[in-house]
Amino acid sequence: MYNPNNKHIKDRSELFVEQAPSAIAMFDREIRYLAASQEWLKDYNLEGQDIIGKSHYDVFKNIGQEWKDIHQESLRGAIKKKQEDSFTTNDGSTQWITWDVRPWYTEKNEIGGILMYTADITSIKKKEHLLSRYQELLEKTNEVASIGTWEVDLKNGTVTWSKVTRDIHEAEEGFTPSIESGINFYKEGESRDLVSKQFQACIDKKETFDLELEIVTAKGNHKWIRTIGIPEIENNEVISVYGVFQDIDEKTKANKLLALQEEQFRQTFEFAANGMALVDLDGKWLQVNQSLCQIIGYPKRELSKLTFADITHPDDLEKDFRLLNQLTKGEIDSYQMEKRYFHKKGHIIWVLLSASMVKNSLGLPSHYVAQINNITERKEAQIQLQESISKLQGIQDASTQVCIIETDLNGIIKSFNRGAENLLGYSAKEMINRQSPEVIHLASEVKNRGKELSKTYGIDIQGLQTLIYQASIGHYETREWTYVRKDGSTFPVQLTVTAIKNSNNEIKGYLGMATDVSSLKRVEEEVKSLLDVTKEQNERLLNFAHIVSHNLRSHSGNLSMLTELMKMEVPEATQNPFFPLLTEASDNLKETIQHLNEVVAMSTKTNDNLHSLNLLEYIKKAQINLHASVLESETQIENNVSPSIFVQAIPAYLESIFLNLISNAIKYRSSDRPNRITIDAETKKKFVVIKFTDNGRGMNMKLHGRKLFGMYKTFHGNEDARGIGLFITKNQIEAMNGKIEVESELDKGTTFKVYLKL
Amino acid sequence: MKKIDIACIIDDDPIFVFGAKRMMELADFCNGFMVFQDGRKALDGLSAIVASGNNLPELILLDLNMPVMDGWQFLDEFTKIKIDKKITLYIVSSSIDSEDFNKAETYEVVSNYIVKPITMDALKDILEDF
Repeated sequence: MYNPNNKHIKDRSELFVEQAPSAIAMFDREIRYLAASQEWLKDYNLEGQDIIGKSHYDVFKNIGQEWKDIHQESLRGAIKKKQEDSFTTNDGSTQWITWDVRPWYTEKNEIGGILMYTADITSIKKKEHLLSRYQELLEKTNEVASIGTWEVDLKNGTVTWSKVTRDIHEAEEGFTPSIESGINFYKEGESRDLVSKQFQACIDKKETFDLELEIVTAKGNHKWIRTIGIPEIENNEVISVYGVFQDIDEKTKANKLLALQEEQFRQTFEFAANGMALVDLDGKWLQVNQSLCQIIGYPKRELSKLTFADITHPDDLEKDFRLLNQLTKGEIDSYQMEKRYFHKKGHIIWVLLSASMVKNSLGLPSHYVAQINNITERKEAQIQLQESISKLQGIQDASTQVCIIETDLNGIIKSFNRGAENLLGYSAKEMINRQSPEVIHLASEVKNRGKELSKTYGIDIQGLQTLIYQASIGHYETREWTYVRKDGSTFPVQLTVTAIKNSNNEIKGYLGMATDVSSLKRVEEEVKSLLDVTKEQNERLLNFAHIVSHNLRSHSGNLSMLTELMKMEVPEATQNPFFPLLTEASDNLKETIQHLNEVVAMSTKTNDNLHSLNLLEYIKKAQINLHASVLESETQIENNVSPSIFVQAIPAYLESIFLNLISNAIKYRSSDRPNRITIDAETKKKFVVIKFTDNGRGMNMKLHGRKLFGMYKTFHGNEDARGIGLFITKNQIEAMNGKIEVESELDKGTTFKVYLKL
Repeated sequence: MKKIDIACIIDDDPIFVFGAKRMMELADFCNGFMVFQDGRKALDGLSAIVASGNNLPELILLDLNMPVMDGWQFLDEFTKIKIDKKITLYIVSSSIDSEDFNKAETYEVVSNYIVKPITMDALKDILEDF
């Protein structure tokens, strides 16, 4: 209620309150607003409202009983205050305030009402809260990061450790460190020496230190720690040293491990057996290892000036770029390709390239990693293999007269070449994977052969097995079969069946190669019949020769018998000039028949076994047989043949040959000089060469050479010439696997060389 | 020198038979002749003589190549006949085939092999061996 008596005082008080810089409000005894400062209005969001004369409890409907109690106490004279208090505002948020409620006195010293002072400390309160949170956080962080603090008071020589510092040292809770014991925790040697030196320098020269050292904890564990020391200076003198102490053991070990791993990686990279490279985004070689240098023949420093494209075969470049592009775009994680590089020397190197991309910390492409394996050898082998396969294929395709049929282990046809199609009338399509070779064989032949094989191997072999059994046990089998064409007609083939083996020597199938031998068969039959005819003719001829020689002999024998009888019974007839002619004709006939017989006998006797005969012995035998004519012709024979030489010969032939050659040399002696025959023998490789050299009449080789050894050729007009002699000699020598050569000069002499097997 | 009583010639060649007979007469070789034109006739004739107990020849000159029955066939049959009297048998053939020579040696009854033509010297040699 408004009291008009107090108006003057009220006005002044009102003014004071209204203009006060803090939130102050003045109430009457009924707690109605007498005045309120601008700050009050502001703090309680009352600006623009006319609250004077209104009850505080009407303005703030939410005010609780405790406040009402405080107001009543104050009206009784109590001063109430609180540094920190919270209440809930009209909008529900918590407001922190500091408050003061006290009574005001009238001039009559009566309590006229109360004064309320509040200060909004919500923002201060929030900051405080944050600070305490920060401190808490710091402590937690320190604990988690194992960062402790320490301080050395130089005045009284005490050392203080924070809990974390103590924990890092693994010291007991009550442990009190000293300077000496603190330093002694450092590992003897480098760590302890360094910390002592730096601590002293910190005191003497006011230098801070920051060291990573090793300590040995109270429990004897070795640990890496970081210690930072800062001098505290007062009056230019260091009074204490304080700092932080951090457990970096794991970090250090991790770092060292990392360094080790990096070194290991570097070593691995450098000395890896396969080529490795880091390539930048432009394709330049960033780093290459030794193996790569070896593979492509460039030293590192030359390679670093090149891009991979510079040494890539142009035909492989497009594909490489395409894949690299996909890699860069992230479409693929890596790629592999077989490609060609040019070796520094210019030849092609085949490699297997595996490339992947490395991204930087921002996830952007950084560089590529490439693994490069030299596969030149494999590739060349592969190319060669391909070539030979295509050649083989070519052969298979090209041969139209050879059936090449491949089967699997079960005999199912797997390939059927053009020749097979051509010769058999089946198409490859209707045979491959559908038929076995049995269909092209004559069933009766397969059956018979099966019986044979069953007998040979003691197991039951029939059907398809008949064709492949031999090959399956490692034999090549080539034999004649009859093939049956699609139209049922047949033709003979020569078929070879072999097993197809893989690199492990396991049989994977069978290959049958068959040649049409129809024409061969025809020729063979022709030859056979020709041979038969020839044989027959030969036999007939031989028979004929026998008959002729025998019958002629009978007649000639009768002739000579009759002339002899005539000589005895009708001696006067010998005076007739016809008689000697008749005798001579009879003798000539006899001799001719004799030779004819020798020729016939020779051609039938060549299969006689050869004996090892002493050469000298047989020459001497011939000399003895010709003794009379040697004496008569005054021939001088020089025999230089060693008694130790043996030849492979037929005794009768050897005798006849020497007899013939020596008697020839006597017969055809020169009438101008004493006749002389030299006989030599020497061994030459597998032959013995026997030389008969005479100084006789000789002959013109140009005219007679070719006819020399022919039948019934004589050159000398000599009545003794028989001609047939050399023909027989030559044939006899050849029958013993030898040969005869002749050198002769007219009126100088003749040399016969007889080659006989040792 | 002994003189042969009866010489038998088995040969189909009349010229040889004529010549041989003349040579034997000239050489005063034997007292009588017996001639057969082939092996069969000879075998029959000689068998008949054996059967009748008449005088068998002391010497036989046997040709090999003959019609009807050749010299070898004759020998095979002749050796089957049991004869007490010693008969000397010569093969006289124009064959100089060594096979014939060798075959002749397998017959015990064959004394020697004479290659035609037959000569006075050969006849004298036969008489000497007799």
